[in-house]
Amino acid sequence: MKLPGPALKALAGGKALASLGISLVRLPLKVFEGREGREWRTVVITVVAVFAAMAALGGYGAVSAGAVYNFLIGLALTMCIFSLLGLGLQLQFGHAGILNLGLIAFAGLAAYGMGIVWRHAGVGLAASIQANAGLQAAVLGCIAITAAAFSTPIAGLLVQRLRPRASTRFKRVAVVAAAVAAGAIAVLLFLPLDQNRSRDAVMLLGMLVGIGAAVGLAFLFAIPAIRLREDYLAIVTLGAAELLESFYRNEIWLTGGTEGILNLHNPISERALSNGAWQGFVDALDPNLKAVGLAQLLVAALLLFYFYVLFEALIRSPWGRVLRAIREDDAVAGALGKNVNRFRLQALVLGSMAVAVAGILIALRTSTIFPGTYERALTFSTWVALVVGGVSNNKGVVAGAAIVLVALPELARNLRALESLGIQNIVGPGQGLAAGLMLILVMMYRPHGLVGRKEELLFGR
Amino acid sequence: MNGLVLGSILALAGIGLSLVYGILKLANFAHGDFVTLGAFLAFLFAVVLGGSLEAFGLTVGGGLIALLVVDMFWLHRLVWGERLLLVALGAPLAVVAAVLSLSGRGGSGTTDLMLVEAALLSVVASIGVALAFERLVWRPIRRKKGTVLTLVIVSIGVSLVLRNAIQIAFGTGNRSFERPTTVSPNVLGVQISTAQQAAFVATALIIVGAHLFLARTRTGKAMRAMADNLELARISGVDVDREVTHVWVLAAGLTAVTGVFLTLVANNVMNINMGVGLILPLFAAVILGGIGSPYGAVAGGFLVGIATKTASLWIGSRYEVAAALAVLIAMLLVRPQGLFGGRAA
Repeated sequence: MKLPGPALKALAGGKALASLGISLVRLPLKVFEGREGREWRTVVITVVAVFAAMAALGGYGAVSAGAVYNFLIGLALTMCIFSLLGLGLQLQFGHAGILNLGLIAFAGLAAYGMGIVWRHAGVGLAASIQANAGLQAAVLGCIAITAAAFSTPIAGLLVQRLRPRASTRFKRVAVVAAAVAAGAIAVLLFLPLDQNRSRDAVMLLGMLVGIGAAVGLAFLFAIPAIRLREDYLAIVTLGAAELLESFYRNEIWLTGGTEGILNLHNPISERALSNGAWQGFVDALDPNLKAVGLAQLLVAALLLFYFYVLFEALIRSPWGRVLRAIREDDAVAGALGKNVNRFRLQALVLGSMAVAVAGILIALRTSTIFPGTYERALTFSTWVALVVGGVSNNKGVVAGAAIVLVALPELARNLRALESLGIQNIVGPGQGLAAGLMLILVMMYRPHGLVGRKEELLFGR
Repeated sequence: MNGLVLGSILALAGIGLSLVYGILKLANFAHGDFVTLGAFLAFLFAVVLGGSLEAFGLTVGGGLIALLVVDMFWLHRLVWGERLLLVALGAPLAVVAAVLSLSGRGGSGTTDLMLVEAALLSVVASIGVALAFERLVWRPIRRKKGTVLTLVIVSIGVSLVLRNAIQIAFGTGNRSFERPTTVSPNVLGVQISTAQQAAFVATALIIVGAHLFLARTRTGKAMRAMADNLELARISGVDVDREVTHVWVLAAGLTAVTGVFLTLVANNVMNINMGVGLILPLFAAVILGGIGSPYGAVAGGFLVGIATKTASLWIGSRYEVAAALAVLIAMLLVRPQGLFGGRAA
């Protein structure tokens, strides 16, 4: 039978639609196929399970649904920030094999860099920016350059993904255009430079100072890191972090000592509170929802996504392969003509940037900086999260952070019920005890953690 | 003088750390927490349980019996030479007791005799804890041929467990042996407290004891052989697992003693961070002396102790840790095998 033309066309169209429908249904499932897919599945299930449990825990006796949402948003923020910490450690240890026990020093230094700029220059500098046109131009230029610099790698990845066969010239133009656009958008975000915007700008400068300081520290760490054996390096980095912490505590004129730095200007919460559209959006979701918390979560999640995409691309690139070769046997990589020290240094610096950003987010969460926040304990928790989630796999840190830094502290808080039985002071230590036991048990019975890769394991098989 | 006291404390704890590091290739980050554990266990026995001497005698007797039971069923074939090790650890403490009771006699609070008994009990209990970890954690990991990385990370886990367990049991605040404060006597024009004198004398005695033990006994020789070359020692008929147990006994016993003395020289005050703060100078001492070399650890301990206290005259006591760190980094970069020809392992 010969069908008329239009009918044939309709049939073909229907077939195409049907196949599109099928592929749309299969797409989400396809994500979970293959090895990567199974790893994603494990991570997603872990995170969902943790948050379901937390919702049940927080929902028990809660006043309103909004309160539960706020509670969960806070936990998700915690997870994002600590995943970012873990991501930095993953690059340094999981991929480059650098045993860094002074991780928190990067986060602390970045936060303190920002805090010190605000404490000593803050309001005054903002006022002079507001008044002085030349200064305004310099600040806006600085903002534009920062935004362009941060957007370049992602723009490059995107172009490569979308137009892999395009000419190099086209790719270059596209990346430069994207960077310029990002710079322009950033500048627009800061215009006009009124009181709040100029304070935002000062905070941004502070963040750059902080990240710069963390990167500088990474260079310092690299001096022993590229020469020393793993266990020596662990001792040295631990000691350096301790030294920095005693610096925060003792140089009261600079850091405020144990009283810390209070009342940081907070660009995220200030914008969330002053932006009517955002307020309206959050209110539409749930009237009890806190606009600031959601904004912070959004920022942290975006930054986590940014660094995840960046690091994942790096790890898959030839650069990442060299890094892993060095981790397995630096003598062989060196004999093949790779500059071992340089690769280690690069991994250390890139990892420290993620950690520095996490440190800044920790400070912005409460708009305060205390020395006690940036202590050895946080380094150790991040290590536990890394090992539980799985070494050498960037996905693992999210699952690890969900278990070790979200679920564990919240469950430990419920130990407070024991206090009525006369057992005092059990919440914090209980959490630490559980984390320590978890670390030991995982190392003994499942050294690749949740989604770590056995064949890349650094712990012997 | 403060430098000498800190040095003797570092030397005491350093011997064990050095042996463990050298023999097990384990950079034991939990070593500092064992020092804390020793102090708090002594506190437990002296202040919490130390109501009367009779009860005390009973606990001592019970502890010794428990130790003998552990001997028979757990450690297997513990020969007399090895039991002597325990006595060797205890004997200097008895001498200290004599020294202490001759000098400042207190009215109320923990008496010197009680303190010595508590320290002994703490040594025994610390050894028990260390052996439990050896049996449950370290030995299985050795069997699986864990790498240096595994060992370091697991030791962090052990450190977390110990530290938090101590916190749950004793709280985060300061604890004290509740001894009366005494006026420090003058020795050659310098005020030196009896506790400092005791720490110094005891360290000297324990070091001599450790020397005799390492140089003369079969176990000591085996330990040094293992630190030099584990495989060669194994081929020569050294029962590695058993000797490792002895290393832990020695290390844990010495950390317990260190904990007690550290508390005594700090005006009887102990807290959860006392041992952790020692970690960096301890590693500096051990690496300075050469990993696996107990004599090196003693020398390194005194050198680091004196260097730290001397440096604190210039840079202030807040940054004492900087001196140890500087020594450590300089050593690692220039001469990682240690001053006395230990091994870069």
